[in-house]
Order: sequence, then C-alpha cells, then structure tokens
Amino acid sequence: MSTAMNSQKVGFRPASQTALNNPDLQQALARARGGFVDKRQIAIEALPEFEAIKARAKAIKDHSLDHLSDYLIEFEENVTASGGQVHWAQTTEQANEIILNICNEAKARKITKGKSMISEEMQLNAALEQADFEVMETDLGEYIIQLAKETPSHIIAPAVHKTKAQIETLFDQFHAADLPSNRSREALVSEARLRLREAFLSADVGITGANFLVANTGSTVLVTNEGNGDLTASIPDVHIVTASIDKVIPKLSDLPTFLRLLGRSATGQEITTYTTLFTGPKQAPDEAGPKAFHVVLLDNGRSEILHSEFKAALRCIRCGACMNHCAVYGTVGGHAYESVYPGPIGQVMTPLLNGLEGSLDTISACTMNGHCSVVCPMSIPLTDLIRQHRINAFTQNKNSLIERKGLGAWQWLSLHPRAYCLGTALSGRAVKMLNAWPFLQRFTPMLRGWKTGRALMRAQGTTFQAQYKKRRQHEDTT
Amino acid sequence: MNQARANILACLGASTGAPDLLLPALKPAFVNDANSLVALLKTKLLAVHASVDIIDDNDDTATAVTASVLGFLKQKTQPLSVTLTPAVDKQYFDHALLSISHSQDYAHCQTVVTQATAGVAETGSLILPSSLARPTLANFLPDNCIVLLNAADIKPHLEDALATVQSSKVGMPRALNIISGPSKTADIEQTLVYGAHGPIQLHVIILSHDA
Repeated sequence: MSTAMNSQKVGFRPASQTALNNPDLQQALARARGGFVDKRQIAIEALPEFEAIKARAKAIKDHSLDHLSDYLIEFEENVTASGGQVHWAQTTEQANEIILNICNEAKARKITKGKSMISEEMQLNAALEQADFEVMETDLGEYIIQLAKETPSHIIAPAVHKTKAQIETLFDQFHAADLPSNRSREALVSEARLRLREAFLSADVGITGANFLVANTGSTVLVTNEGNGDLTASIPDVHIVTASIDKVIPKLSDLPTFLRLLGRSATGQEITTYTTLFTGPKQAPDEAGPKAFHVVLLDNGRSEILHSEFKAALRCIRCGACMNHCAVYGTVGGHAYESVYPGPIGQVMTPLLNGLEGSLDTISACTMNGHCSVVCPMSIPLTDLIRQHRINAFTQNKNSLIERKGLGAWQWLSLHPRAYCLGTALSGRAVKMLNAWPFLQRFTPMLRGWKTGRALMRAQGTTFQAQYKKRRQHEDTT
Repeated sequence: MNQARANILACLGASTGAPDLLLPALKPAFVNDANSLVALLKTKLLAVHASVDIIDDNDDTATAVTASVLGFLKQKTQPLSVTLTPAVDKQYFDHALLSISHSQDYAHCQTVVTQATAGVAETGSLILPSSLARPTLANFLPDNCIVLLNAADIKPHLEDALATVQSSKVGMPRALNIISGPSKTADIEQTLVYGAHGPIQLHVIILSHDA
C-alpha cells in the first residue's frame, strides 16, 4: 500500500463510527443489503447441483494451488505460444514498473481500465497518473469513485456506498454544466456511456483484470455485465492484463464449474452478460484487436501465504458473497476497513498483505457468526482464518495490554470452573442491581461501550446453571 | 524481471509435474433433446432482457429473417438499416425492405447483425469467437446487436461449447465472447439499467432450418 492511502487512515474503530453516523451511507447500505442476499438465495435454490459444484470447484482449486508453479509455467508457455508476453512481479512496485515500461514503450498517453482488484492492490492509477498518463476507469462504479477520488467500497460493486443523488451531483460537476436536476438512472448511465465511449475510442493502452487464468490455453478470463472490459481490451493497440498468481486454473474444461458459482454467488446471475476469454494479440488475417498482449502476474506475498495456515484464502474467486452477508460490513460499509479488500475476506487478507499490526481492530471486528463461511462458494473457512489471526496476534504479543490482561483473566476463569460459576453468579446479581437502581450505572464506566447504542441487558439474577440445578431437583421430587 | 520469476517459482516450491486431476463431469441436469434446447435457450435469453425469434423449417428463411429484423427495428423505433458482419449470409436479407451496409466502422453503426458459432442452452449464451468475419467490436459498439444462431449449433452446456471452440481448426480465437443478454449495470443503487457500454438491445434469431 502506498503512503498516500496510509496517511488518510484513521483506524477501523473511528472509521466505523463515522460510517454509522453517515445517513447517506446508511441509506445506500440498507438498499444494497437485501438485493444481493435475496438474489443469491433464489439463484442457488434453482440449481440443485450447487453443493456438488462447490465441492468440485474446491477440489480443482486445491489441486491448482498444490501445483501452482506447474500451472503458472504452463500458462506462460501458452501465452507465449499465442504471441503474448507474461511478466512476473513479486511486489506491487515491480508490477507498476512493468506496466509503466510497457506504456512508455508504446508511447501511450491515454489509458482505459477495466475493474481490477489487483490494480487496486498496486495503486496502479496513482502510479500511472504520477507518470503523466491519463487514466480512465470504465466500469461505471469505478468511474464514479474515480470522479469522487475515492476507493472501491465493495469488490464487485465499487460505488455501492453512493446514493443516486450523490452520483448526480458528481456527474453535474464533470459532464455538462446545464443538465436538468433529478435525472433518471437511465439518463445518468447514458451520460457516462457517451463520456466513456470517447475514452474507449481514443485509448492507446487498455488494462483489465482477470477472473481466471486458464493454463492449458494461455487465456485470461474476464466477466462483466457492462461490456466495458471488452471495449478496454479490444480497441487500443496494447492490452495489459493484471492478475495475481492464485488465479490460474488447469484446463478450459474447468472454467464452467467456476462460472456457475461466481455469478450466482455475486449477483444471483446464472452467468454474467459478458464472459470473454482473451488469448494472445490479434492474429493475421484478423485486422482488429491489440498488437500486443501482456499479462502481469503479481505475487505480493501470495507465494508465502500458500505455505501458511491461510492457504485456503487463496481459493477466493472474489464474488463478494461474504461481505454481502456480513453483519459488520452491512453496517459500516467497505471504507471503514481501510483496505483494498473489505468484509470477511478482507479481515483475512489485509493482515497478510499489510501486516497484522495495523489490522488488530479489523480482525476483532465481528462475533464470528459464521455466515461468511457458509455462503463462500469456495468453502473458505473464513471464521477459522479470522480466529487464526486473533490467535496469532495473541501469541505474538500484538494486542494491547488491557486486551491481553482481559483474555488472560478469561482464560484463568475458564480453567477454574468454581471461580467461573461464582463469577457469573455475582455478575448476574450485579446486573440485576443495576436494573433495579439505574443511578448505580453512573459508577460503571466499563459498561459505557455496551450501553452506547444498546439497552443494558435484563438479568434474571440467577445463572443458567443454578436454574438448571433447581429444575432438576424439582423434577426429581415430583 | 526474470529474477522475480525465479524467486516466485522458488517460493512456490519446485515443479513436480502436475498429475491430471481426474474428476467426474458435473453439469446441471435438464432435458436434452433438440426442441428442449431451443426452448431453454429462448427462456434464458428472455429472462435477461433479450428478444428472441425462432424461424422454423417451413418458413422461407430470407423472408422470415427480414421480417424478424424489421419487427425488432420497428418495435424499438430504430432506422430500418443494418450493418452485416462478414460472417452473416447476405441472402437472408431482402434488400428492398432493409438498407444493408457492410461497413466495419462499428462505432458509427446503429444496428449490427452477426452470426454466432454456437449457443449454450444452460445459460442462454451466444458463442462468438473473434475472427476476420466476426469482429469482436461488432458485438459491443453498436446500440443494437442482432445475432443469428443455427438451432443445430445449440449445445446443452458451456463445457460442450468451449470444447467445440478449442478443438476447431483455428483453435482459441483472440477474443472468445460468451454473450448472455444486452449490456447492463446496477452500479447506481443496485438498480438494473440496460445499455451500460455495449448494446442496449440484443435480438436473437434462431434458424432451425437445415443449413
């Protein structure tokens, strides 16, 4: 991550507080929540084979990860055979340098870009702009946040945090001066279409991401609904694909299994409108298409993740289902995570990409209700991986002293059942007293966090164990 | 950056020669005869906001294709002129009723007609491998895209369609477009709007004659 982004970081807690107090954001999130969840559910219920397809996809991806160097080499050979070129980058800096070199060599000025999370990881736009290239994001959501100078808040719906009114205000500023107010969504889309059409037709280089890399054909696979990826890839003289090394699958015949999961899990679609496989540059006698085809393979720590307890996270196909079903994401939105990857997969990936130190609040930002693990089409045990980060933070002494002491006390209590019973009995009575005499609550500063936004729990005064015991005795006597 | 390549591969672990992963095929089940495939493809395309006409054996193909194109253009209040990609059989069009162009300037073309090499019933998809005769930009730049598809080329599943392309004489094209509906976006408040960057309308004409 570049320093530009780091300097704006305030931390997950303050950022989520701000998010909770932002009415526009809350409105946008409330609208998004139901849509994604319901559509996914309907699409999955209509496919009886869904669970079996999930198992198959997991088997293929685990196999690919176990033989990653073989499949990457096979992919490279086939890209080369089709006239393209593969570039390897260990770090995001190296990847940016490779792309800058390609753009400089092509004497490019204008660059169009399809949505790519890897390019977000690289902060590619900043690097290109710094080198005086004109970069235009072409996915409508990415275009909106580029105008707003923001980062994506969702991996498949980058502008999900924006209301129509906010988008209209933004377009007023960048499109034309005398536009009527309260325009329809159709009108806004059509404005962007016109504006981006110019960009597509005049671009020197097109950069897209890849949802999959197919080893046995050397193809990069791109799914979109808008068609922006195809216009980005097929008009300019140079097409550059950015992809991380975990994206490779062995065979073309493996692809349908993944496509069946991706659309349904992401937006509830059986398949996205456009699925395109790009294989090499244009080939004679065909006159259309780019003269050069480059694939930049980015590692950025993944080859190490592969050998860690977090390997399963590399199965991710970036559908966004985990964040769509996450209570925390649904309440604070993507920006509070202050990372390229928000939501549960972000809780797992961010510490791996940026280090555990800066992610302590993020990894503890949920009760691990397990919803994310259930909806993940690649069966990534997200909650287990989040817990693993918490374990690592504790064993590596990274939490604050107060947290460590608290956890230590909890551990001691858990290992001493009598003390535990006594403690719960006392705290039950204490809460009952606080219920009875509310003025006492003034003397309980440690409850302040709980009471902001919630009522104090109502305690019955006795513990579950005590009631259970009493009931058993009662049953025995009757 | 050969050093980067070496470092990444070293960290991934030595190449062991990946064994073939043998998994039984797994495709969604549905009735698989020729009529059902046409019907399923049509249902799926209609569900994603495309329009579909089926032209059967008894019709005169040229009359029926022209009628379908005219019907579509009139319904969408579009000018009665189309641009044909080289992949399309000119004889399907009645030049007296429709103005026909062969311009390759798809950026300035309102309505294009092209020919798919295959369809996929499972997903309601059209398979359009790029070539000299089938330029990929024809599928994306015009406002209206009309695609001809022979019923005999409709495959049950995506696997079948991909295998056909892979094993064809020319192999993998530069761009293999799998198209399932008109262009759309839900980036403004999760509400669908058609015609984001690609065609606003997609009209599919299925020809069930023996070509």
